[in-house]
Formats: sequence, C-alpha cells, structure tokens
Amino acid sequence: MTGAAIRALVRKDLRELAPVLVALAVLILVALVDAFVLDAADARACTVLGWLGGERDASSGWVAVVFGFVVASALLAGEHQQRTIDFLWALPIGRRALLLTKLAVGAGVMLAFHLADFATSAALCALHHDSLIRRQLDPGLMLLRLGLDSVLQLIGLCHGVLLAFFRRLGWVLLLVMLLGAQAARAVDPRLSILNLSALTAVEHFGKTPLVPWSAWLLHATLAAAALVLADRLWLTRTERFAAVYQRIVSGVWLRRGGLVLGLLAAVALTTALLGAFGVDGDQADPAPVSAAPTATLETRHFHFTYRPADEARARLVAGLADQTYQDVRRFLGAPDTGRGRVIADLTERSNEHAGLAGWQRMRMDLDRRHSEAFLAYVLRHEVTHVVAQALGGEAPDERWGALRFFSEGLADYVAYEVSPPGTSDQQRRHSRGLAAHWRSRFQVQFEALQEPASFTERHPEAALYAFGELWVWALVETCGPGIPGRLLRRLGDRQIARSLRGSALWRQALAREGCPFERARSRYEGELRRLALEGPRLPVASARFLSRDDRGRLSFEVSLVGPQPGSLPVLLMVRDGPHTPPPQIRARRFTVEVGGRAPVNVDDVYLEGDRFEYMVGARPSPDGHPVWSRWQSTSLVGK
Amino acid sequence: MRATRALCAKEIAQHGRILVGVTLLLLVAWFMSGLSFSRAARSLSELERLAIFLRGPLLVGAVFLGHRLVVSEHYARTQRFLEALPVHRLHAAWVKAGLGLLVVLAWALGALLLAVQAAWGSEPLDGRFLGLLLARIAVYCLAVWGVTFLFGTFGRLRIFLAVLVVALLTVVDRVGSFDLGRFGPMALSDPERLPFDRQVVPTGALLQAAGLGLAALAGAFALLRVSDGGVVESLARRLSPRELSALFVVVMVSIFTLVVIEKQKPADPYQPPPDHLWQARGTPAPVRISHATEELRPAAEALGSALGRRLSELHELLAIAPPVPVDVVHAPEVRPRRIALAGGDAASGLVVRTNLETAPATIVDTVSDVLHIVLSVRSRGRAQREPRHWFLDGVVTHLAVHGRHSPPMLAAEVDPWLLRALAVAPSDLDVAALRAYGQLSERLGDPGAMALSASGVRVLHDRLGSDPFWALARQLLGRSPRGNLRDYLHDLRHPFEPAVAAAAGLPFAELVARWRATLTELRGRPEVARRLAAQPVGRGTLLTRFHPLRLALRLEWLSPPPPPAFCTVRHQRLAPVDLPVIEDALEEESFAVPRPPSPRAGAPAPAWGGALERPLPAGYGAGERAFIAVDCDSPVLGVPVRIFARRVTVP
Repeated sequence: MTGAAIRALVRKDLRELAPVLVALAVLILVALVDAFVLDAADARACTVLGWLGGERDASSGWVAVVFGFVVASALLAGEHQQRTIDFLWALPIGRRALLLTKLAVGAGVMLAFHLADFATSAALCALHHDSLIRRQLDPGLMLLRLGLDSVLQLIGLCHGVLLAFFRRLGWVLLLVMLLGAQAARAVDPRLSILNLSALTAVEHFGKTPLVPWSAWLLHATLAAAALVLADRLWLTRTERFAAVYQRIVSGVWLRRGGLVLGLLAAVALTTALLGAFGVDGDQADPAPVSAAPTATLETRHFHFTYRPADEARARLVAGLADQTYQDVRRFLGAPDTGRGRVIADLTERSNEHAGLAGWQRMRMDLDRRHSEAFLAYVLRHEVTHVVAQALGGEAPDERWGALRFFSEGLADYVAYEVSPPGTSDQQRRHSRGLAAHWRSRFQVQFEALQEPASFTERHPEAALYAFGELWVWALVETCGPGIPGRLLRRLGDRQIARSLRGSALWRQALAREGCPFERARSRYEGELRRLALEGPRLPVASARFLSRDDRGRLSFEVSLVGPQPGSLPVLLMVRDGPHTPPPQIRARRFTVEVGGRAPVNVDDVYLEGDRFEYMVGARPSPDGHPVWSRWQSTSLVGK
Repeated sequence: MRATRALCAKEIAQHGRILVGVTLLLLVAWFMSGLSFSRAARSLSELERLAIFLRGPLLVGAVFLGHRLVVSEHYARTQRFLEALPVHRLHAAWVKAGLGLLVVLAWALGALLLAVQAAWGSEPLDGRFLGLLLARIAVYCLAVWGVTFLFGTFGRLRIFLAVLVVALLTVVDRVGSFDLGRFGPMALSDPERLPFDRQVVPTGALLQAAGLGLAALAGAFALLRVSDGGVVESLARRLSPRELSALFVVVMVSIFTLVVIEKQKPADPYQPPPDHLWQARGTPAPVRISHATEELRPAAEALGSALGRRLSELHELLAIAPPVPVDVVHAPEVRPRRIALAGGDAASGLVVRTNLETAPATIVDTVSDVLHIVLSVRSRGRAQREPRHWFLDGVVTHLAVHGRHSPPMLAAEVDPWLLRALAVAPSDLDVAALRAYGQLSERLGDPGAMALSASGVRVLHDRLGSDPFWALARQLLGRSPRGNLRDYLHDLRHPFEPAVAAAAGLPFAELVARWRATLTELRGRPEVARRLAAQPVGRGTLLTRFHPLRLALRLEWLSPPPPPAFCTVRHQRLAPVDLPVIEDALEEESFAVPRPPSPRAGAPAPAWGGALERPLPAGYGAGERAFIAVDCDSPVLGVPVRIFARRVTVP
C-alpha cells in the first residue's frame, strides 16, 4: 500500500469520524473555557497525576471502552451499514491493511484527545502559583501516567473494535461486561481484578505509586485477545454476521431476545445500583433472621411486633414506651400529629446496630447481650429519632444526611435527659469524655463532623454520636431547652437555601431562631477543652502491624495504657479500606492488661492491594462505646 | 367499543408475549432486590422494597413499554395503517395510552402484593394504610406513564429531551427553593415516606403527580394532532451520527451554561447577639466583637480598638471601598495568636473566630491576621499567590505593628517582631526562597514567616519612604479582582518582582540582598546578640527506625530553654502528592522539655546538649506520608519557634 493510499484512507476515515471529532472538540473547548477564561488559570487544582496521584477513579477504564466502541462503530460498523465497505474492498488494498489503517486512525484520535486533556492538566499545573503544587509536575510520574493512560485508551479501542462488530448488540454486550465484572466481585472479591476499574486503583508507598501491574498485564492480554478476535471477525465473518444481524433486526424473536437480554441487563444494573446506594446495601448484616412466628403488643402510641421468646424483654420495652414517647414529645415541644401509632419491630437481630428509627417506625434488637438499662436507653434514643422525624420532616433528605451528627447527638442528648435521674450520668460522662479525647488526640474539627461520609472513612461512627450530644448540649445551654425542637422545624424551612452546608447552614438556621451560632460553638469548644483537661482519663489501646505470614494471617502487637490497673476488653478491626463492606471487616476481641502488650493475629482478611487499615479500641464499660483509635493505613511492602 | 376491543387485541397480539417476558424480568428484579435487601443491615420495613421498585425497575419497564407501544409503531410507520381505520384518528393512541397505563399499574400492584406479603409478619397492615399505598402507587403510575408517553411522541428527540429535562430539574432543584424530592411522583415514591406514612394523605403530592400525568398525556395528544400527526411522524426516525453529535454538543453546552450561571442563594448576613457586644465607633471600617462574657469585655475593647484603627488605615492606604465589615467572635478552641475565618464575604462582612482569653497579649498578631484575611478574601485569594504572598504577610504585619509610618529600621530599637525575624531568618534567604514562600513558611512556621516578611517590607518602606511604599502596596494588593481570565492577564502584565524593583529603583535580587545584609548587620549588634542568645535553639532529627509503637523524633538542644519549656509536635497525614499544609488543621500535642542536669557544686554550668526522644501522639503506618513540625515556646520572642519541619515517608 502506497503512502498516497494511506493518506487518502486516513483522510476518508477522519471524515467518517467528523461527528465524533466535533463532539470531542467541543468537550475540549468547554474544558479550556472553564479553566482559562471563566477562572484564573493559575489557581486551578492540579490534576496532572490524576489517579496515579491518589485520586479515586473507577470510571476511566469503562469510559475508554465506550469511547473505543463509539470510534470503532463510526469507522467500521458505519461503513458496513452504509455499504461503503464494498467500495473499499474493491480497492487494490488488502483487507487487513484497511482494517489496520482504521485502527490506527481510531487509536490516533483517541490518543490525541487524551493527549489534549493531559496537556490541559499539565498546563494548568505548570501555571499554578504555588511552588509546592508545581512539584506534582514530576516528569517520571507524568510520563508513567501518560503512558498508562495511553495503554488504557488502546485497551478501550481493542474492546470497542470487538464490540462494534456486533453493531447495536455491542451496547448489550458492554452492559453484560460491566455487570459481569460487578457480579464477579460479588462472588469473590479476588475477581475484582477483572473490573477495568482495578487498573486505576493505585495505592502508594510515600509518593511512589504501587501500580497494579498484574491487572494491567491481565487487561492488556484480554485486550490483545479481543483485538485478535475482532480481526478474525471483521475480516472473515463480516458478511455472515451481517446476514445474522439482519435476521436479528428483522426477525421478531431474535430481536425480542436481544431486547429482553438488554432489559434484563438494565433491570439488573438498576437493581444493583439501587441495592448499592439506596438502602445501605453495602452494609450487609450477617445476623440471622429468624422465620419464627411473631406476636404483637399495642400500647397507646406503639404497635410492637416481637418473637414470643423475647416476650419478657418486649414487655419491658413496651412498658416504658408510652411514657418515653410523652417525655420526648414534651422535651422537643412536639404536638400530637395524629399520625397513629409508631410501628416498632422488635424481631430483628443485628451485629451492626442496637436500634433504628425512621418515619413513625423503629426497630430494636432485644438480644440478651444488651442489659435492660441499655434497652431503655436505645428505646429513648430511637423514640427521639421518630419524634424528630415528625418535627423536621420537611427538611430535605440530603440536609438530614449532612446533619447526621446532630441527629444522633440529639437522640443521645434527649435519651439522657428523659432518663430517670442518675441512671445515665455515667454513660453521658463517658460519651463526653470520648468526644474530648478524640478532639484532643485527633483535632476533630466541627466542620469535619458536617461531612459524615468522609468523617467515618477515618473515624469511628461512635464519634458522631458523642460530638453530636455535646453540640446539642451547647445549643441548649446557649439558647434554652426549646432550641432543639425549634431547630428541627427550622431545618425544613424552604427559605433556607438547600445548597447551604456546614457552619453556614447552622449560622442561618440558628439566627432565624434567635440563637447565636458562634456563641453556641464557643460553648461547645470550651466544654471540649475543659473536659480534655478535667474529664475522666480513658484507657487507650494502640496497635502496630508486624507482619503477614504465608497464609495471609496478619500479626499485630497491641498495647494498652489506662488510668487503672486491670485487664480490659479490646477490639481490633481490620479492613482493606473505606470501601470495604462490614461483612468483610475482620474483628478480633481479646483482653489486654493495662500497661501491657499482647500479640494478636487476624485471619482470613481479604486485601486487594498492598495497603490496608486497622482500628483498635479498649472498652472500659460493657454498654459504652470503645475508646477507638481511628482507621490507620499501613503497607504490606517489606512485611 | 368494538373498535377499542379490536385495537386492544391488536396491541396484545403484537406485544403480549414481550410484555409477559418483561413481567417475568420485573419479577426477577423484585427478587434480586429482595436478595440485596435481606443483606441490608439498616432497613426498617419490607415495604421499602416497594419504593425502590417503583423508582427503579418499574421505571425501566415503563420506558420500555413506551418504546414498544409508541416509538416502534411510528418508527415502523405502521401507525399509518391504524390511521386508515374507520375510527377517530387518535382512537388508537387513546387505546395505547390506556393499555399502557393498565400494564404499568398491573406491574406496580403486583409489586405491592408481593411487598405486603413480605411485610405481613412484621408490621400491621390495616385498610387505611393499604388504601394510602394504593393511591400513591396508582397516581405515581399515571405520572410516570404520562411522561413516558409524551416523550415517546418526540421520536428521535426523546432521549435528548429527557436528558435536558433531567439536567434542568437538577439545576432548579439545586439553585432554588424547589425541592424535587418533595414534588409529585418523587414525593409519592419517597422511600422515607411511602413505607411508613400510615395516616396522612399526601394530598399535594397526589394532585401534583396526577396533574403532571394528565398534562403530559394532554401534551402528547396535542402533539399527535398537530399537522394530523405529521410532526410526530417526521420525528420518528433514527438519529444520524451527525445529528447525534450535534445534540451531544447542544447538551454539553447547555449543561455547562447552566452550571456556570448557577448561583447560590447568598447566606443571611451575620447578626451578632446584642448582649456582650463591643462595637467600634468613629472608624470607617465597622468592627464588632462578640465577647461571650463580661470578663472578656476589656480584651474585646482592646482588640476592637486596635483592629478598628488598623482596619481603617488599611482601607485608606489601599483605597479599599466599600469597607469590609469585620465581626470577631470569641472562640476558646482557637490557639493563641491564631484566628479562623468562620464565614461571610467581603461584601456582607467577614466573621472571624479568635480566642479573646489570650487576646490581650497577642493583639498585634491577631490584628495582622485579620488584615490578612480581609485582603485575601477581598482579592479572592489573588493577594496570596505565592510570588507576592510574602509581601502580603509583610504589609499586614508591618501595618499592625507600626501603622502608616515606621521609624527607620537601622536607627530604631529592635522591636519584638524584628527580633523574631532575626531569630528565624534563614542564611540562604534569596529570591528563590521568596518565590517558594509557601515552603519557606512551612519551614519557619507562620509567626516566624510573618515576622520575616515584615522585616523585608520594612526594608522596602525605609528605602521608598512612606507614601511611595503605600502607593506600591495599593498597586500590588488593592486591586478588586474579577474572578476570571482578566485577573490572570492583569498579573501577567503587572508581575510582582519587576513592580517592586521599579519602585525601589534597583533589581529585585539586589533588594533581597540588602534585606539580608540589614538583618545580618542587626544581628551583629551586641544588644541584639545578647537577646538572641537567650533563645532556645534546637535541632530535630527524624530517627529512621521505629519506636516500639510509633515513629520518634530526636531533639537536641544546643542551648537550654528557660524552664519550664514547652514544645508542641504538630503533624498531619499527607496525600501522595504535594499540597500545601494548612497550619490550623495540624494535629498537635504539647510536652514539657526535661530540665537540663544540674551542674555539680563548684563546677561551671555545662552547655546543655540533652536529647529527647518524643513519640508522635498518633501513629503513622508504613508507607504513609506525614508533615511533622516541632515548635518550642520562646518567652523572649513571644511566639513559638519552629525547630523542625519536614515532610516524611514512614519507612
């Protein structure tokens, strides 16, 4: 094939890709305008290393495949659809040469787009005013990212060329690929390597990225296989498949089969997504659910369902329920809404929580490991949630999500306040002591509590309760006992911009209730400081990772310091990272002498990479939260 | 009626088997969601699955049904045969709409039956509650089907329109007070309400959803009537790649435009409580201090007076108009000499938090920090750009310490701020160090860096004289930013160093050299040397081995700190890439430095070279990066001196 022929073919293919090129050009233009015109270019975040620099990126691999599919469809499937391929094949040029030319053009377009994107990031980084941020322009790492991303584009193109052979069915196959990767991970976490997102899941040792080369090798091999298969199909099976495809398109049953397959995939994806994001689907609970018969019990304000075996404890809870409901309503100044009885399910067993509550609904775990006093506390806590939901029901859901520390803190605060005098003082003292401890040890800032998702990535969930309780106390001390109820109503005020978050939201909501936020915050901070100096001394456990043996067992050394001699129960939890679902978090319970050290082994931990996290906590009282450390990351490199 | 039956029969014959297949698929989806639901730890009711089903699989099913009943009929042009029948032209469309609604309703009711069966054992299901569920579901189905039917009539534009509508609704939802989650069908299918609301009839949501569904159906039929269905028919063909590309471009540009014009509702301006409030009088810059208790009133007055005076000078000297109001709030958690920006903006006023208990001794530092925040916020961060950040630090400290005029540096007594600069000034202070001021500041700590910058500014002030100096400061720090390309271009056209050099009348490097020489000269004065000799000078070394549990530091004291001496370890986990450290976000733990050994009787006091191993208060795992700094109190300087600062990777 002559150079002139190649140039002509390239020009022709670029014309075929014109719509894609226009769309890409617009994307680049939009990015450039956003970065350089609508903003000062020297103050933009530097993203030149992207996922190689620690940014989370689970989509780049799949986006490359979709991109490759679109490009390949325009270059190859389009020719066949418009029958222009016949003219091409009539040329005195080999079919493989034609195919390779198209692949080269496709790869060129994809790489050029990627290069433009990378160049924009690099330019923004180079223009950044901060010399420290400009250090990210590490030539070696930039080259590595550029190279790996280029390989990723080629992997996407290889898969895209294969998918494009199946015309529109390619979209279904792509969906099947995506779902297959998700399903494989669900079957066995080790199969997560099959997901293209494994390529960009990079851990670090210091600044050095630990590139998952095994995943890259696997996906490069798969892409090569896809390319070989695509080559065979496009060169030898095109006419035959065109006929089959025509039958599929025109044939009712085949078409319906394809549609059903697509719909099945769509339904499965939707369900999987909803399961994952809708109802805490990632927080699976290993506690068995009994199918035993249930009994019911009604009080003035509650309808209880319980297991007959738990009757005594259910009656205890039911006996307290109405009074608790009245007390909480009175405390929060909530009127009778006429919403009927609260539906309380006492049949559940959970290793994850002791109780749950929502709109006119609550659940409690009556397990015998909980003391009666603890059950009473849980009841008060959950009833507060129910009443708070009724009062603040108009608040947008995302606002409630962001104010989770307030919601849990309020429930704890009211639970302590409506307890019989003297019964919960110790628990409250312990909770506030924990808050002061976490504050002084980890400098937990008020602003950090407003982002519960990122907060609990590093800190124990119990901290939200402890800090929240103290915050509600500060509000009441500053603005009077009526403020929680007024605030709950105010949070549903539509005049408060929904985009407001954090301190700005607090300031505005409280200002409209005549309560000075800054003063409440000062009281909260002052109390934390006072408790840190004068509060109870707590036992503190710390752990150090020692090694991993051939069977994957992790060895730790745990030490405990505390105010009083004796041994205390200690919990050690190990997980791969913040993404690890609770069933895969391994926990060990053991006792350690105060002032002593203990070796601890943790088996059966699944780790995806070279880093993992652990957290340790000593439990000074059976019903109190452990004095957790925070999730600490460490590396297996050299261990 | 017969025609209706015939048309129904035709639709069922044409789509019946596929509908059975889809129904089976929805059943699969229901049980799959059940599987996922049974693993969920935080579910309250089996009926929650119903809400998930309505918003997920049922929606997909409805869209598919719309495709089958409406879109494919027009794409295949078979609607022409229906229009040729001896019935009203829209009769077939009515049948499709009714049949589709019935199918969607049947799916939803099937899900309701399954949900009720699953929930039967664990919660009471009385007639009123079931009636409410039924009403919610039926009206929700009407809304969903109506909208799906309407989009179906738009043929090839349906996906584009759907994307556009979703984008628009999202923006409206985010920008205004309209809450999409509380509107019509979304409210009816709300997973937080649908399974739990047993008494209250959601009248508003029912009316909105019904109105939406009926309006959408009316819109669809109106479109079908236009030009005898010609518009719908013309839309019913596949998009060409070029049309796809054009639509993609339109969608991208629309979304981008919407994002750009998205404006947040401004927050209410800060209103301090009237009690325990001190307000500056007679100053152009409004300053209010909220002191929580009457005991703090003197501190508030002292700080407020100083701040009001200096803020007024800043506004006048840098020609800042209108003045930026400042509210200061007592914050016991804020470290001495630090302030925290709590909110606000340059227009409505800034709210800063500072600890008034420590304020009397640190008024000048607090004032300079407030001036720093005022200029930073007003310039949208432009004044803090690294090449000129030292100048900003220096100007605000200079103004806080000396005001508009300062005595010549070499002729006057060395004040505490200049002494700080002399104590911390690195021997390698040059243009490169100033260009990397962020790193220099990290090395010296904020108090040291501010003092050093102020000494540089004072050298410049002495050289230029007061008025030209403030004219230069106005030129470099007083500009109102635009927040876009124009800021960048302005700074490109007016670079910092040449501007300073032009004003000073000598090259910038030469100016820095003179600054260094001035500091050296001052350090050589006996009185200054004596004061500096009383400073604790330490050296930190990071031990490259593990402490039994933690990483350790080694501090070697070259001269003993006057007892009792306290040091503070400040530290923070770092990302794998380099980003600036925010001093206020550092974790810290203070510790007392052990006293040096007492000299033996009659023997001369030994030069103390004690060492201290200090475990870090929070452990860092292998491979983690951390910023670690050690600051030690210096009573003579009045601020902590940073003796160690490093970014490390734990081995």
